[in-house]
Amino acid sequence: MALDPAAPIRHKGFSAHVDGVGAALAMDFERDDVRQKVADFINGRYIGVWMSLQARTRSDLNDLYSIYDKLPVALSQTGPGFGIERVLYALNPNIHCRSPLIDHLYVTRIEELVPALERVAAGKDRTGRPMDRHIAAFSVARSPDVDERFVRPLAGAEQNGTSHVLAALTLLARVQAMSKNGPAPSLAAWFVDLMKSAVNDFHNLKQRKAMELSISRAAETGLLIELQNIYGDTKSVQRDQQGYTRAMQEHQYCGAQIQQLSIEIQNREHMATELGEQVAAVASGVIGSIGATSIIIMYML
Amino acid sequence: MTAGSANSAATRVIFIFIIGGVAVFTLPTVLILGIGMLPTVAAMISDRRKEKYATLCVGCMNFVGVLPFMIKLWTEDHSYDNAFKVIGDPFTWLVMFGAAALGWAIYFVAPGIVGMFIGMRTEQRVQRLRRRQRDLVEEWGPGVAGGRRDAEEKADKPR
Repeated sequence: MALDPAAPIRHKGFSAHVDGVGAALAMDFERDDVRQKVADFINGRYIGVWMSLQARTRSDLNDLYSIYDKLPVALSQTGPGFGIERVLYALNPNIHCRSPLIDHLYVTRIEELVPALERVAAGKDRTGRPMDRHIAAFSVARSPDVDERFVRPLAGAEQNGTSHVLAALTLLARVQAMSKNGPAPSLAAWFVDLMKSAVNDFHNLKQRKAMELSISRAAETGLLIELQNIYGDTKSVQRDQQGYTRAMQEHQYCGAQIQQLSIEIQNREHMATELGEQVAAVASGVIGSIGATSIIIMYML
Repeated sequence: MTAGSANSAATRVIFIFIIGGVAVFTLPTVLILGIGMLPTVAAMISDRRKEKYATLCVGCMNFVGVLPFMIKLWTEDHSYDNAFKVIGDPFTWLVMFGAAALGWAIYFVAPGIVGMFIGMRTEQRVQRLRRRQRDLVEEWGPGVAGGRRDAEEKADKPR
């Protein structure tokens, strides 16, 4: 670098100009060794050194430098929306999303993402989920409205659980809302299919039916944010869980009461004798008092 | 002997003396009362319970049966002749012993009625609790009954 500052940067068998690293990665993204070399190159933070060695100040590379400066942090994280995919889309502003789901639709702008997924959803094959590492990385890299708060839940959530689907729904709802894409009913229906188990987890049958109704209405509108509002309502889930726990306790309490009352029915004879004698004594006393008073009054008149 | 028990014994003695003194001057009344209240004495002897519910039942009703004749004695002529005349009337015996019999009847019938009432009330409570349990299952599904819901749902599915 010091001997020939204008030459491409060379590092462990990888050589490229500063503005050509992204293109090099895009060309051979499927190759593990290239991905590893680019990752090592970025983690080495050589761009700053290279820029300081340049005889001529290149203001056109300042933006690129600020991108390179942030990339090691993104690379150090392994979840969807981070990693080498994020580097790919950050260094190649015009490259299309390489997700196997929508690769054939050549999505280059964030505004095209939801319509492309809607086309996939409208097709017959709806296996899998409308979210992968490429879509997540593409969304964060392309949209200023989608920050890391939206992709982080994808990494934290259980990959097979409904929380992962909910995180994907939240991300795409944000993209749809900010891109003003309009309705995507097929994509919404896809999410409804994926979130079925979340609805079935609702214990309250009436509430579950009401939720299914509101979900089908929301799905018809094609607005993912509507669905996200329903599925993301953690308070109603908590309320349901608390209500279910209370109902279980009440059911158990009722059972215990019934058992106790059954024992009481069996011991009814004994209780009736005990109480009946008391009642008889009180009744006799009352009748006697009334009778005696009446007799005295009768004789006095 | 403690001070308390000595005190109560003295009270009892004073009380007996007062009753005895009054009885000496009202012997015709004592005669009617003594004969008329015989069923109560019998009830007291046969009643083994500490609370003496049977005695109370029979005694109250028996006294109501004896009272009219005592008043009759006081209002007409408080003498032995009149007392014997009252006692000699079979109707007097019928009223006095009939009233005592009514006391016995109350004593024997009341537990049955109370038992019936308790049974009805308990049944009603059990039905209400079972209805509540059904409502809970309808609202929250079979899992609320404590069993594993998944297992039950699988069992419900047609094979």
